[in-house]
Amino acid sequence: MRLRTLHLPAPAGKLNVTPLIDVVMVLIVFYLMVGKLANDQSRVQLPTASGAQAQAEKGLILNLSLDESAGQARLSMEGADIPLDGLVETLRARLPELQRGVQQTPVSLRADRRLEYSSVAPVISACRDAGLVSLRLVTVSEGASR
Amino acid sequence: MSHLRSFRKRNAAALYDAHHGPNMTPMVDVVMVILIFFMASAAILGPEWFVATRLPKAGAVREGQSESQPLKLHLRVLRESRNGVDIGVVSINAEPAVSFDELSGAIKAWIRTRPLGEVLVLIDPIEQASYEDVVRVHAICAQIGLTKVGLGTQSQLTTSP
Repeated sequence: MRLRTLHLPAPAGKLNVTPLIDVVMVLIVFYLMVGKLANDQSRVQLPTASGAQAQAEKGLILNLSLDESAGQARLSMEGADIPLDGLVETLRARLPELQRGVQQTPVSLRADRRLEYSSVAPVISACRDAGLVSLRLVTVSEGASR
Repeated sequence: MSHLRSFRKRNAAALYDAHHGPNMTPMVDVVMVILIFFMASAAILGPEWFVATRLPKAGAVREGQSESQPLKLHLRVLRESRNGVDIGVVSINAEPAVSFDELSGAIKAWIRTRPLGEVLVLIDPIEQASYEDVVRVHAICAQIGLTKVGLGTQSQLTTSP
């Protein structure tokens, strides 16, 4: 005798959690990415300027943020804080072509607009001492407040 | 009779699909969240621009420069109190300072009075100058068409090659 499959209705009160898991997973990824970006970049308020060029290739990025609690500049590269004293060695290690006197990778400086120039000048000096021949000062276009 | 048998085999889900199509709600939920994610990312990571400055070694002089000396434009970025407000101003070749709004015209006037030739610009800020003011002066030079712009630092002053 052949048995028929019995299709019982889903018991009352049992929720389909699949959409909930989908949305929660996307939210987790969202907060992870935003958290990483916020740590690296959004704390730098870039200066505004018109007449600048569009940043097509980012290359190596130096972030010089303003540590508001200490009132000092804070230098970081690729998510890691680096001391100003070690910037020359770090750049030479990261860009070995500098030892041949050439610079193939563009280097960008994302410095906070609230900083005084006296905090930025040592970084520029260290870049020159490392062998860089050009440096990009990153800005945002006028009208965009970051 | 046969059509009744086939009707009996259908369950609730098959009937729902037959009448309403697949359930789009979870997909719409996820797509909306992804949309919000990209909108928020675009707001955080807006388009970035740059002004390019050159960092030659001090004292480095290219061969062949001795015959045609380029024009040197020295821009001193200062802070000045005007009407009780501390603002950034620029002195061109040690002349009385002008505001940023007047700077473009002042540089063009300076260039017009000189013979045609390459212009090297040195932006030389005082220690108390705002970094934003320095970038603004650099951008004004770029707007005028001056591409060889150097930045002065405390240890030594640099000029473009």
